[in-house]
Order: sequence, then structure tokens, then C-alpha cells
Amino acid sequence: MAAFAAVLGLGIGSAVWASTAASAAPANIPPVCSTANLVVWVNVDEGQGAAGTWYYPLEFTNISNHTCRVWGYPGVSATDANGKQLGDAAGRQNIWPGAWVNIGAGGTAHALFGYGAAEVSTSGCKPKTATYLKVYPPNQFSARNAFFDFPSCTVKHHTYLFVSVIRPGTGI
Amino acid sequence: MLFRSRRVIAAAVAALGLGIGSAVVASSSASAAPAAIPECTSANLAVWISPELANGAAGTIYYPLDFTNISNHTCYLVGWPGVSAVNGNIKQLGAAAVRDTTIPRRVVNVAPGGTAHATLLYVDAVVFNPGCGRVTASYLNVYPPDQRSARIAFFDNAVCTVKARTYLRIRRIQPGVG
Repeated sequence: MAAFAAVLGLGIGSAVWASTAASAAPANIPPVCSTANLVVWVNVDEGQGAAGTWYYPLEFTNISNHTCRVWGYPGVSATDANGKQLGDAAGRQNIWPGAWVNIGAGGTAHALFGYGAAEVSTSGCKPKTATYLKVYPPNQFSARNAFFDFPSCTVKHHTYLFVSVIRPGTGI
Repeated sequence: MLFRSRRVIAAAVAALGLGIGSAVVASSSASAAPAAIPECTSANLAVWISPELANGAAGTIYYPLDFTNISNHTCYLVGWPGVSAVNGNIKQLGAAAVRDTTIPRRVVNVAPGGTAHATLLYVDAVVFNPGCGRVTASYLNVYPPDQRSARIAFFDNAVCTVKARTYLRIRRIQPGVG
């Protein structure tokens, strides 16, 4: 990622308005999406199952009035109605490499979100129905809640949630 | 992989916004009129509601109920969706949402990857009154306007199970996430 950032850094030097002061960044590299720019939701109607795990698009909709960009994995865990974490946070699924994804104003990007139904129901992880997914967008220090009410492990050391890097589009 | 392959197209087109309506080949003969925009089907849409976008006032909480176009073409929505809360088995809980006329009728085009919304009023003052048979819902069951198949969205609020209690009201669809 550092190398990639360095390349971008060189791009900034070649200014579009060469005659103006160097302070204005080019408008074609959007800012990183802050948590406040995004709302997060589980596309529960588009689940697909495989071998005891169900996969859903975890959607990030840009509610700001400008394009922003994200790179990498969100941080994901299930919580109860009081915001208390249930079991382990989601494990990272290294399916795709990280990439910058631009999200236009009003647009949506997604990560693949896995729910280990078999792990929850057969491992003795003491499941309890969750109320929310708590989601930190990449490189952000505050989270967004999405509604999520599947049975969730309450005991540590059971990986029952998975998440990929963010990808373009709604994931359908 | 696990998902159908339309996803990349959706993102690329989303950035272009509503550009689809404008003709691409302006110099060709006049016979090629722009294709009419179809009404959104249930299959074109994902429906969702965010607890983070709630606004509360005097016993009622206002949520945008969002409709995201997951197809690869622009479609339109107009009027009221049909909305009810259901349990984990998709069994309806109490009364369906009552139509609210506050927002006028408007045809709303939704580009691929774009989102429109209808405001949902959740009347917690009714839900938390004694005698409504309060339980926690799992989903909203949502029929887009003029559609006969429903979409579900996670919805974890307390709801009534007594039919006579109106605790949900729905307004007409408007542009944007809301």
C-alpha cells in the first residue's frame, strides 16, 4: 500500500493548473471516505450459501455530496442491542487484493460478508440473536451500525463471520 | 464465485449517474428514439433501512426506507411501497403500514447502483403502549410499487402483533438516500 501511495504522490506533483499555487490538490483523486460519509447495510435478500456458510453483500452507500474512495477491509463484528460485541470479530477472507474503490455521491460499493451458520449452530459457541453489525469502514476510527439479527456466537475463539476487501458496485 | 457477475458493471455505471437517458448516437436517423425507462421490478431492487439514519420526534421515529437499483439499467419508481414487519419465518406481525399522503406523487428514476427512498414512520408511542402484543421483528417485508413479489430488509425494532394498532406509516417514494 505504501508503494501505491507513493505512486499517487508523484501524480499530485504534475499539477493540472501548473500556473497556480501548489496548494490545490487535483480534483480527480477523491478523498478517503470518512465514517460520516457512509451508511452500511446488509443486503440480506441476496444471500448465497455454500458449505455451511452464507455470503451476503455488505453494502457501503455514500451519503455525502461528493465522491470518496475506500481501500481494503472493513472491521466487522456483531453486537447486541446495547452495542456489546458478540464473540469474535469477522475474520478476513483474502479473496481479492486491495484496491482503491471510488464511490460516487449516492453510489454504493460492497464487501463480501460471510456468516458461518454451521459454526454458530453446531460448535457450542452459545449463540444469541444479534441486533446490529458494527462496521468500521477501512482506516476509520468510528463505526456504523447496520441491522443484523442472526444468531451469533457469544464465546470467543469461534470465527463465524468473514469479510473481504471492498469492491466496486452493489455485489449483485 | 459466489455472486453473479453483473457487479462490476453496476459500479462503473453508477458513477455516470443518470447518463443513460441521453442518446449516444446523436447523428444517426431519428428512428432510434431513446428507450423508454421501465418501472423497477422487485428483482431490480435491494431494499434496506439503516438505524443510523433515524430521526426521532414526539413518539415517532422517521427512517428512510431505501431502494437501491441492483440491475444494470435505469428504472423508475412511483408511489407507495407495501410495507409490513415480519418475524424470522416471514410471518407478518400486526398491521401493515398505512399510507401517508404528506409527500406528493413523483416519478423517480433510479440509475444502476443508485438509491431512492420512501420515509417510514415508526410510531414507538404505539408500540410501547400496553396491549399491543410487543415482540421484536426480524425483517421488513417490502413490496415495491406495482410489484407482486416482496423484498426483505433487516429490521430489529419492537413491533405490535395486535392488528388494530397502526404503528407503521409509509410515504411515497422520493429521490436519493434520504
